[in-house]
Amino acid sequence: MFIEINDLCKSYHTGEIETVALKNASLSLEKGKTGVILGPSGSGKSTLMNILGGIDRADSGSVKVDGIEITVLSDDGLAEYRRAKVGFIFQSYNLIPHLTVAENIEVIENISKNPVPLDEVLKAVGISDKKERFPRELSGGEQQRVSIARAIVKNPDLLLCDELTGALDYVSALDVLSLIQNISRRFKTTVLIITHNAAIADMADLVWKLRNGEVLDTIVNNTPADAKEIVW
Amino acid sequence: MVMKLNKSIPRIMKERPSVYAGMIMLTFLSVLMFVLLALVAQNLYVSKEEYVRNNVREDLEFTSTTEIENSEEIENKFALTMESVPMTEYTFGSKTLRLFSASQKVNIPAVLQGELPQAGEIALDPSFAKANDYYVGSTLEMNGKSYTISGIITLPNYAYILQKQGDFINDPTVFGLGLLSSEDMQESVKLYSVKYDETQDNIYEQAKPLKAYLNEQGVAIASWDYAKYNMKISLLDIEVTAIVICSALIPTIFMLITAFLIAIVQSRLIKSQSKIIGTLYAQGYRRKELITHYLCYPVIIAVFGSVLGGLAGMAALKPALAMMLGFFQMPVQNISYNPLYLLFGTILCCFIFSLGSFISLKKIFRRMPSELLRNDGKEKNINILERKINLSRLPFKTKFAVRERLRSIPNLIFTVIGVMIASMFILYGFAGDSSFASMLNPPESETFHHSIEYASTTPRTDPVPEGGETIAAWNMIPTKNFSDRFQLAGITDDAQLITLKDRSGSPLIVSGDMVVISAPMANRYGLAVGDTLSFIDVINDGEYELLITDIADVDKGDYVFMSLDGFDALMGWEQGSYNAIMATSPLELGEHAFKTKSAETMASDMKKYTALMRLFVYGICAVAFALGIIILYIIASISIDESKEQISLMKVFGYKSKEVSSMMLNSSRIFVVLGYLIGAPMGFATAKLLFIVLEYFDISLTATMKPLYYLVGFTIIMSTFEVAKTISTTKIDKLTLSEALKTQEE
Repeated sequence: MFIEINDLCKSYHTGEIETVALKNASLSLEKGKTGVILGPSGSGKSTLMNILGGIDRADSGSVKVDGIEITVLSDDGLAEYRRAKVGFIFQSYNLIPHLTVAENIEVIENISKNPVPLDEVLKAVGISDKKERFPRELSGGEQQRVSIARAIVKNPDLLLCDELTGALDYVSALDVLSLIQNISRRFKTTVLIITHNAAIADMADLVWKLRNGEVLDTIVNNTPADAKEIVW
Repeated sequence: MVMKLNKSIPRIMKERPSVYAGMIMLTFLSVLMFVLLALVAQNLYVSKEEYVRNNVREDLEFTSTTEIENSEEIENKFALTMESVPMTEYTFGSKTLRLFSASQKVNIPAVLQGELPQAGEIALDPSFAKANDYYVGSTLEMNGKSYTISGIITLPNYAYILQKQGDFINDPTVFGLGLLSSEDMQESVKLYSVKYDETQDNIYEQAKPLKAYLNEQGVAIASWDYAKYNMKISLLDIEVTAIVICSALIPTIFMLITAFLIAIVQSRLIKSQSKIIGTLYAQGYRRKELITHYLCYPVIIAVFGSVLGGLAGMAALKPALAMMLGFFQMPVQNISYNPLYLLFGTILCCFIFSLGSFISLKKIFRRMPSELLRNDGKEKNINILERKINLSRLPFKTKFAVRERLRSIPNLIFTVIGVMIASMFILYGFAGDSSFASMLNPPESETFHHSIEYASTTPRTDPVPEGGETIAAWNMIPTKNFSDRFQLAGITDDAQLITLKDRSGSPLIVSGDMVVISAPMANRYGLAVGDTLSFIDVINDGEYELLITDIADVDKGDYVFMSLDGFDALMGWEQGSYNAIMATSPLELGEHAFKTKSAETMASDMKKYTALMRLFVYGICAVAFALGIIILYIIASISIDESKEQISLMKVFGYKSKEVSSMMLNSSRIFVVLGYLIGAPMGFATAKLLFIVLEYFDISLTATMKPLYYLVGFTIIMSTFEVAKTISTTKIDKLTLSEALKTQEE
């Protein structure tokens, strides 16, 4: 298995109040497959993704990615792990406002061992003609494409997408999902999407339903739909 | 690795030009001041030391009409160098030239321009030449003979030209120095200049055997002056020392404070980048790479501001030195543009700025990237002040304004510290000005009530016209504190113009064997009634001891009062002798016998005497004022930038720009006032500290502050706040909702 998560627990403390985000969550995913974690707000899906991506730490449990137990890694070890293996796509894009589209992507290309050529990435996400623009000069959908391009330029083994269509209109959302699917197929990238939109689950090989930090259900989808065909 | 990322640096700086330009300007000004003053100090100090050494400045001088034949023997016997030069004075019209021939061994003249005079030529001091429009090649008529000006010179024993002892300042239009060739020197007295091979601190003790020997040999000594107590020589040391201290202390404090302030701004700016840092960290950037990138900001500001400031300081060095050398005369052979100060300023700024950023980055990296991604660098927790203060009874706008201020405690602290620093700088300058003004126009003394003083060079016994009061006064040196001086004064028991009180306020009538010491002097030397005060008259070689009988409550100054008869007996003067007359209105006296020193002329002399120091203080005050405005402007800009989103939202809700500005910005006023209330006394304390330091170098100033200046300082601070507010209001007006939303999206 490329991803193996076992009995993962995580709580947050605000003053004296304890909020349980994950309760013994377990899941696994093979390399090159697409997984979708479904759940409402506060179900723990973002926490799960953050721990998997090495940007947050678990209280207990085990997370193995490509054979690496990431829960035991130091901060620097986690940085190396993220650098080598993980690409992030955020709902709010998190682009660097003072860099152009091309430069936003080059920022990550620069630190990658085997980057995909910039032009190829720009072409793949369909924003070649906008590479000299600044983020504020783009629409939401276009900004999300830049965010995707930035995530895939390093040719990551694992692509983590946090509500990547949350801020987009339907047409743009389908475009972006289709793009992710194509990337996964083309680069054999393992993709994990977290969303509250159940329709997106149709394009996944595996779907996990989360509620109150617990994995309630795991659905195996032997015939994932083409992203373009998803309807909501 | 981070090359691409670095492309964002100039763009981010362009986006907040006011903040970054302000920081660069602050750095520029503080480093300019530091480099300029350090270089001025270094050049003056080195030049003075070289001048003193290379031109062999005397330790003492004496005049005699006797020709000393065995100079060489004396030199060997007492391990010194001695040289005699002829000296005379030539008066033409209202002008007087003191003429010498050039010496070869001690007090060697320094040629600033042209060359030393040959027969038929004369060299002049620069002030006299300039004031009277003489230049190299022009001619001067003297004794019916025409002399060509061969050069402009200075003499080590006349670094500060004074015509007579007791003068404060020279008027170069009427008095100057000239050098003639020995062939052209007329009948004259001999000025003997002495330089010991190893000069000791107590030159008085060192010179005793020489003086005794000369007396034994029958040399008629007309005057005897130690360089240490000769103002025309020692003032150069005092001024240069004061400049070195001021240059070391004030600009360094300024630079450190501004550096720390910029470090705080830097750390805030980096904090506002938390989300981007979190994104890059999540995407695989290493901490080291991100730290390296974000340290570029402080380094760029430090290097840019410091190098420009340092270069500007270097460029201003020559005119600054020329201005300083207008106050005293010495050659500056080679101006040193020592780059070490620029380097030090740059490294110090780089270090402190970077330290602020580094600490901020370290704090940021204590959090996981996921936390950083959720955070936009703004404080979201409810702090203790917000939670504890009950605002429910206040009207909404006041509540909003108070909440706006309480939201960020660091913002509050930053505002208060910023205003405090600005106030400190301004009040420091005012304290300097006030203190000089007070020195020039001292408040009415409870001890001294005269406004005019007529002093005589020799003791006199003739009757004094009505309205005049006699006094005998002589400068003495305490045996145990050879660097200090005090005035021994003999006064009559019916003295009206000097009245003394004891510490309980009862009048003290000085009579008989009473020896009354001033309270400041008693405090300084730890003397009490019943103690014995030992002192020396270095002019006449007298060594004395007096038993202290009383202590007088005098506001300032080191004085010992005794009866006029007691004084005359001590000094060996004829009974009833005096050497000064005090009065409250002008008296008719023979002008040839007395020189007049009125409150007005004293004030005018003192004003000129302290001109260099005042120039120095005002310069610092002007720079400080500029720093203050920039600091307040930066604070306002940061506050607006940090509140962009709230401002836009308020506009969306229907508030007018004016209302938003008033709610957002006026709430700072109370903290501006608080900053002033803390900074103003600190500015005064800084001036006090400087004056205390200067006191160690015999420069005595009392720190005072006119109450009006507190009001003026307050008005200036509030005005700068209003200016900053007006500029910021324009910024608020320009802020659109779409901009704020884009900021949120990014």
